[in-house]
Amino acid sequence: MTMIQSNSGTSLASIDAAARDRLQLLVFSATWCGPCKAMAPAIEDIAQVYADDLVVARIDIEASPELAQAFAVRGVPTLVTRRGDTVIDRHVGSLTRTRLAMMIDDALERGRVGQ
Amino acid sequence: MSGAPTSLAMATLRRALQVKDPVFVPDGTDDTTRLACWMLTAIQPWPEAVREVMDGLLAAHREAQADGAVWRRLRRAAVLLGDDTDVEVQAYGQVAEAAAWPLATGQAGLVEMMQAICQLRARQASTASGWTSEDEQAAHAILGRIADGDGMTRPAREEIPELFTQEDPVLEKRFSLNLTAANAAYGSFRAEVVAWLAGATRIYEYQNDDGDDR
Repeated sequence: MTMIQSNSGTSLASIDAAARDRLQLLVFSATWCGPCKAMAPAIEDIAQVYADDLVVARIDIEASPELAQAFAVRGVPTLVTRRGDTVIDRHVGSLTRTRLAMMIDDALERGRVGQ
Repeated sequence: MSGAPTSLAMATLRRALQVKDPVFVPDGTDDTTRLACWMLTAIQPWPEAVREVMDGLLAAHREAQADGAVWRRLRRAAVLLGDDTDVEVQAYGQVAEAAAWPLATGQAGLVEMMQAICQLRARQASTASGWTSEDEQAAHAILGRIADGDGMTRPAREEIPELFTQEDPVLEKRFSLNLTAANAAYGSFRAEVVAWLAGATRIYEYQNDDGDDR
């Protein structure tokens, strides 16, 4: 079962509603992007492992150009961690599952420190 | 058809390689672990700088290590390799990062290991072809300038090789040779994994035929 939401609209309202105060990982990708496809299993695993703390949303930059522009996406994949309206971190390019887990751990840790 | 489960990691790898699932899998067969261990040993001899981490990963997979703290330690060690200044150690580090998760859960384990080893093989082929990081920087600088165009228009994708040749014919020739070597090395490891899976399937079919004859 996929834990990942797809977002093809012009706003993140549905993601925000699903996440509430949880961390969000926005994955900007494109159907023609090889590295995005290669990373997909790692993202699925991360979504599963961190299901209690994290909402993952996949955003197709061609279906949602407004969102891509709003997050200044210049290349894919672009990974953005976010809580509420605040962007915590971003990374352009693919990551191993290990590096992605570190990015999520770091964002979760920052959230705990900020509380 | 046997009731032996196919792990998520194996199913994801087979899908990525467009390899059909075997018709028959004997119960008790743990192909996922066998394949992971084969992949790690396929990149031996390991450089001295990575040996300890690779040994630890191989042992963790062989023993189906269940202690999460051991895997976390392995991941931290793998990341240090991935951050090394030596590009070959970095490439081994990415293999280690991919391998530093238990295979029993999750789907990325095998496919991520295969991709990291493909990258490592491509890197090694690149080095063997005499291509250096200075060459890489010089080529990217030229390609970047070409892609930017004259500020008004940008060249079409298919025009770029010819423009590169006009600017630096020797570097373009070496760039093309390097790219061909790296792509061939990348593809050859995928082919090795496909062959491994085909071999495993033949073993099952043989065992299945054997069983039917009794």
